[in-house]
Amino acid sequence: MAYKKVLKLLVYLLFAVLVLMPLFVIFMLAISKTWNYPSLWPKWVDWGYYFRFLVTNTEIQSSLLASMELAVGTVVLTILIAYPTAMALSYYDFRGKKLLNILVYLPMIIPGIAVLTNMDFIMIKYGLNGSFFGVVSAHTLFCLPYAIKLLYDNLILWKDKYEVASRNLGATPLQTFFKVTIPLNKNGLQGAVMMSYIVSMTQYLGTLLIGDGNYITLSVRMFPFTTEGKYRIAAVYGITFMLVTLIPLYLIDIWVTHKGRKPA
Amino acid sequence: MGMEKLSLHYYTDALNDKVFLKIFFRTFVFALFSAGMACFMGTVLAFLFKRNDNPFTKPFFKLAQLPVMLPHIFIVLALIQLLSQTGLVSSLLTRIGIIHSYNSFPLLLNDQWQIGIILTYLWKEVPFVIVSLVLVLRQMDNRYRIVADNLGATKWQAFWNVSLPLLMPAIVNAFIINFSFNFGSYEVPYLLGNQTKEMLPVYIYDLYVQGDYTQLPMIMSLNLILSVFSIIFAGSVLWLSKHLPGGHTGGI
Amino acid sequence: MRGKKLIVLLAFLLPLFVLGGCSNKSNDSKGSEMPTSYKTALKEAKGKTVTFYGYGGSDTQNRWVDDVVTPMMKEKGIKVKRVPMNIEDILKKLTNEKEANKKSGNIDVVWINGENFLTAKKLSLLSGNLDNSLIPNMKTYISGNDPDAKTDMGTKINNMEVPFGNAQLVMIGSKQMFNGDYPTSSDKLLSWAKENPGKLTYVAPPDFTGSAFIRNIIYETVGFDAINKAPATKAGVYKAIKPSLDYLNELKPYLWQEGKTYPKTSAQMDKMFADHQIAMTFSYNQMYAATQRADGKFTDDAQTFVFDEGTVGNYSYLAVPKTSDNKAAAAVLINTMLSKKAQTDRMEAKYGSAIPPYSGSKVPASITNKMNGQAKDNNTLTMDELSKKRVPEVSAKKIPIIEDLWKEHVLNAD
Repeated sequence: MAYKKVLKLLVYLLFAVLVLMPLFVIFMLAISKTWNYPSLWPKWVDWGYYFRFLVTNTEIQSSLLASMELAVGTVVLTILIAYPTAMALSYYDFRGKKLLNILVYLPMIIPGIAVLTNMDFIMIKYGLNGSFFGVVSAHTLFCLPYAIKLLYDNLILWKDKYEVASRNLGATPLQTFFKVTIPLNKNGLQGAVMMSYIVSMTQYLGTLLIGDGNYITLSVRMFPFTTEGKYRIAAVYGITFMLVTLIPLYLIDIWVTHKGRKPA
Repeated sequence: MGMEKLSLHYYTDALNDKVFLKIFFRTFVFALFSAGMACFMGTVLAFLFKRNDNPFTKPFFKLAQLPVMLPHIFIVLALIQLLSQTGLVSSLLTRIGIIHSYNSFPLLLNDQWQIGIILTYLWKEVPFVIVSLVLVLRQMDNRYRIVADNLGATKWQAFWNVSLPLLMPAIVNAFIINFSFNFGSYEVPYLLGNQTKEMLPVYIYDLYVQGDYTQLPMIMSLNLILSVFSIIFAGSVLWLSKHLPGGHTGGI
Repeated sequence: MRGKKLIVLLAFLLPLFVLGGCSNKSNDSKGSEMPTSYKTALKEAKGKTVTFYGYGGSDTQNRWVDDVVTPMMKEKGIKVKRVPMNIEDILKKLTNEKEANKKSGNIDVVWINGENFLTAKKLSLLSGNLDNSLIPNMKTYISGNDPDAKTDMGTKINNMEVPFGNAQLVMIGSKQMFNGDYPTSSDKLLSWAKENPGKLTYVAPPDFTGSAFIRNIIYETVGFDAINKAPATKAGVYKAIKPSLDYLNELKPYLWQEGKTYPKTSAQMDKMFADHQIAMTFSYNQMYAATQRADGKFTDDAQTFVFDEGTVGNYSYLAVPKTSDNKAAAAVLINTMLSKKAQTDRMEAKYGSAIPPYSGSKVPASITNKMNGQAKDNNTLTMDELSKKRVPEVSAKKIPIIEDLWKEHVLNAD
């Protein structure tokens, strides 16, 4: 047994190094200058640089707000669409289910440029370009495959046996949904919320095309810097990006695990 | 660009073009390999750390969430700093004296074997597989496995006949998502790929940025070929998964 | 089952509510008219917000717009909104708006040139009438005879663009690796490569600096006239540049990784240069060595030079889309960006050290002096040297053809 523990520890340490090393490099890039071969440490490091940048730069603050607004909207819309779809796919048999199962992947599969161009065209036609709903629905499109599949993976484990029992015991559909379905599948729901939030935060072209310049998010500002090789600025944006992604998601995580303990 | 601009001859042209077919095949093999690797490694790791009695489970899962949250572009930035011939790893090896100069450090980015791209995808996708499997594993109760244990099944049998079938739909889903991404996205191959061994999305993207708008219908038809192929492929994987362990619970 | 239906209903209703809330702003107004004089433009533009769409990957350029141009506009009572967007995406957006028959849009001023201008003109996305009476600074600083004020890479401008920036390919060599003796011609470059294999490379086209380097090699090997006169077909261009492709193939085995792979972006090449893995990098910004040094990437070791026979130069421009809602404010923004104050500040390292697009005969003395002063401190070149060694661009139509030929005959030669 001890041998197994050591093996697991080693695997765990290796995994931790592989995951954290690139993050550490990004962090260092954000606060340093002149880091050339063969020096292992940058010639110039300023630990306060990042915080000064964050406090003095109004650009980063305004784009943060835009990113969060869109992400929250996207999560809500995605879950509203994805939950019923995933429930239908996992609980019931209906005509066209096989097709729907594959169609769910479509937004991932069709190259983004093609999807977005057509979507932009439609949004312009209906006067939705530049509106909050327009951008949020563009983001939602790309979140749906992840959300539906993550919910589905979870829902398929139990199918609807508990819901049926609950209804037989006289619970209303809404009671059943909130007291049975959601608590049973909170892990899947958490995963779906997390992925939707992340996918929305990372959208670049969709935000720009459909947002009509009204939503200059973190990704929109950051993307040109990364291709230009302005690694330091890109890294500053990157760290901010990490923080605003990590903090809310961990809060949700704590909330879910905390809440999960009581009723169950 | 509206669909009315598509005309059939662009498809026949593309499908008769040897260069296009070669790139197509190369990209397919690459996407299959990298998505498969990610699923395999992710599954192994998820199983290794699924047990609640394991002290590493919680931090491991939290750690695995990190890469899922970050855009690909970050890991590209970090890899350039770490693994280029004059990168940090090369510097370290030179310092220790394992290699004499950066010239003896192998080319890992923009190389013929797409190692840089594969590493980026693995870094993002292995954790994605872990996260989606752990979400299911947490939910899955141990009863089935305990029953199997009581019935005298070996650990391997319990894994192969009980746990794996229950996980299969999630693995298949993760595989399809990864495959579609690797097959169709251009950012990472654009930055870390090798020009002589071009990838399909980069090939299409280059046509697009060249700004020759007479080429647009062709670009759109290439996109459509790519999409239709991915859909057919996803369909066949789902169909195949019915015949793998776990077919009865999930897949379609 | 009833529960499910309720949820589905909810899911479909919510977007409708939001839709209702937003659709009131969809009634389409007609795009504004271009004013005829700067005076009326100034009057009309007061209190408006003008958008500037352009490449956002240069922090120094962004800072120039935000810290220099925006306050100048504010004095005139106009707000500026900068949207970082690549030109391909801007054109895509404008094309979409056109196909959807939308008459007014949010894009007021775009930063554009060359192939993209050709496309935009072909699809008639741009509005004209950007002339001397509307943009007085054009009259003051840009001569009507200046070839770059008349054509943009072979495409007639017809008052659809106003010069905005002056770009010229410059090489940046490592003092230490070249020992102070820089390869100022293609022949010298080839012989240096043969003596020092693996120490040179170039960014692969369609990256625009890589593409410019190849055009420069074409000028060196067959001359500007040969490529300029060649018909804009694949066969025609191939015939004209065959010796250049041969040259690049001769150079290939002596490049980094024996020419089997090339850096993908100039950022990557800059890193290789900074690490002394290669001896030379190049840029379209004449003062690149200075800005990179200020950024802590290059050191004093980086020296700017150009080929004796000259290097390719072009202009970038500002244009106003037909759909702009705010053409008056757009004209004021363009005039402001072209003003002496804005352009003088733009030469500072913190704003990207960009050289004004003014015609040689009309450059104010203060700007020439400033430029020459900077040259000494930063190992860059003087205005005079640069303008003497400047050769024109080939027609925008031929650029994709050249890039294809390079891919076919050099990259995948064996």
